[in-house]
Amino acid sequence: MIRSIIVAVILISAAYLLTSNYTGYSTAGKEYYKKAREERKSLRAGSGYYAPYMGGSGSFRSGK
Amino acid sequence: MGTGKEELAALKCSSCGGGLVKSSQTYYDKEEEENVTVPLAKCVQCGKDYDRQTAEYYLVFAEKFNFDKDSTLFSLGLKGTINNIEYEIIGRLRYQEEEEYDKCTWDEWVAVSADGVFHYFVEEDGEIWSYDEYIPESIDMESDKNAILFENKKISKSSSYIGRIVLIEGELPWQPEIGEPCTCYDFKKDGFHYTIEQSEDEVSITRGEKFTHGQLLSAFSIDAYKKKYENTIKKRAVYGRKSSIYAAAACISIMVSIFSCFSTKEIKGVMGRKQVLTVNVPFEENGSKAYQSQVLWGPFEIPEGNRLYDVSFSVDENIQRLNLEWQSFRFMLISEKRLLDQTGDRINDPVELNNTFDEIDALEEPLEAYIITADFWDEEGRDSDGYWHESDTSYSSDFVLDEAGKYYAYMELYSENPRSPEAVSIAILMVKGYRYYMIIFAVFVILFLINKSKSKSYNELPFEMADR
Repeated sequence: MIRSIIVAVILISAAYLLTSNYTGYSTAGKEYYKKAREERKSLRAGSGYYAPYMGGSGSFRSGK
Repeated sequence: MGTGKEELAALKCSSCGGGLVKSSQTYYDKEEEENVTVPLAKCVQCGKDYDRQTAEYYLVFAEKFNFDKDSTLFSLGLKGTINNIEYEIIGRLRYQEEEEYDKCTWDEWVAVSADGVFHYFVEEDGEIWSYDEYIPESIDMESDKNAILFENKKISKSSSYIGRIVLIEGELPWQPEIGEPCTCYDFKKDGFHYTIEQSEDEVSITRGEKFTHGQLLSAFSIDAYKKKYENTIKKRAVYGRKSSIYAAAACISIMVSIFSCFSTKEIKGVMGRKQVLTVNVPFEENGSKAYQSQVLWGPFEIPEGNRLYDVSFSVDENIQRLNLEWQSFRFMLISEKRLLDQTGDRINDPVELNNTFDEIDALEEPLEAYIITADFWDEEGRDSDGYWHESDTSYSSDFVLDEAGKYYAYMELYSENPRSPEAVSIAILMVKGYRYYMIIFAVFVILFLINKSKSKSYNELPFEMADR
């Protein structure tokens, strides 16, 4: 029984730590700047322009 | 119909005296909507079938119903004392429910007391019931076509079930036969359990109470199982306590999840100030014509850094419906400081802003703190189910923003038809994460179910036992 209490406490603590440290969430700000900067450096001049997102993903029924 | 001879049995057909074998019959079950194969006894000589409504069926399939006949608490010759009355087990009958093709049996142990009174112990599904003969004040089996009148209580005849004898052991006060049917009615009245057993020429009524295995192990001094019984009860209690702990942990997890889910705080003024940079500028790409609009909202204050935020987008159908078309967008969260660095003091100049955003992907130093791309759509069509019409007019995404401060929301909108940039709304909320609490909630529920099941099924004894 003590083992199940320990398991419960460990799992709840782990969930609390992962949540409070925002583990697994996307980050905006410094980390994003760093990532975007690296990506742009690796692209040749003129090749990194954004292609307009269009067409719509649509319903799976339409086969898109 | 399919038949298969499986095993010859030393049994005779009542019509021709031929041997009986195990066979089967396949028929189409309308309820199940599939072919069903059921067992049958068959005469090898005349081909006569014997189904589960015949005694021959139980003679042929006796082994199927009796393979575990020794896995019982009671045994012949066992002596014990209950309520200061001494009993000896002298016989046993095993019944199979006629309705079932699979094994569905119960054992009726016949005991006799020192003064010659018969007593019955029934072992069924891990429970033990103790029955005495009972003479009711009144009983009318035939007063009503649909019910039996038992001491002014109506017992519905539709609650009956038929048991067929599949095993006879010991010395019994009558001469039962394998396959003999007995119609039974089980019911409760005034806190007592009653059973009416109706055979071809006799009706017997018994009144009983439930006993635990522990009580009977002591009463009959069955020492061989005492230790295993105690261990089983102890282990079941441990599993029961474990399941309670996991149930409590699951409750905590779901409560934290719900609390987190509703703990949101809206960032005010996100759509308060707007600069429309372009509206429905036509362009062509890959042969398709589309329209682009650019809007800049802000600045607005994001009050706390290193927090989780959720940004949601939706089509405002009150302004313009999305009707059988698509609209995609690119959203950027831009800090005021970076935009000022880029535009200098011309932050409100539409020409400067247009130039900046036209080149935003080519800037060596990223202007945006975060980017989201998604789309809305509304479609219709026909498939095998007929006409369908579906749409997706909202989207949300969460991210952790490390720095508080003033921010702008920049959006590029692309659509196949000219659309009002006003018809897209944005909301930013400060939220609490709860995904990990949901994961551990699922884990706790699984652990709870496993332990709950073990608290009922753990068993070191060689027979079923339902005590807890």
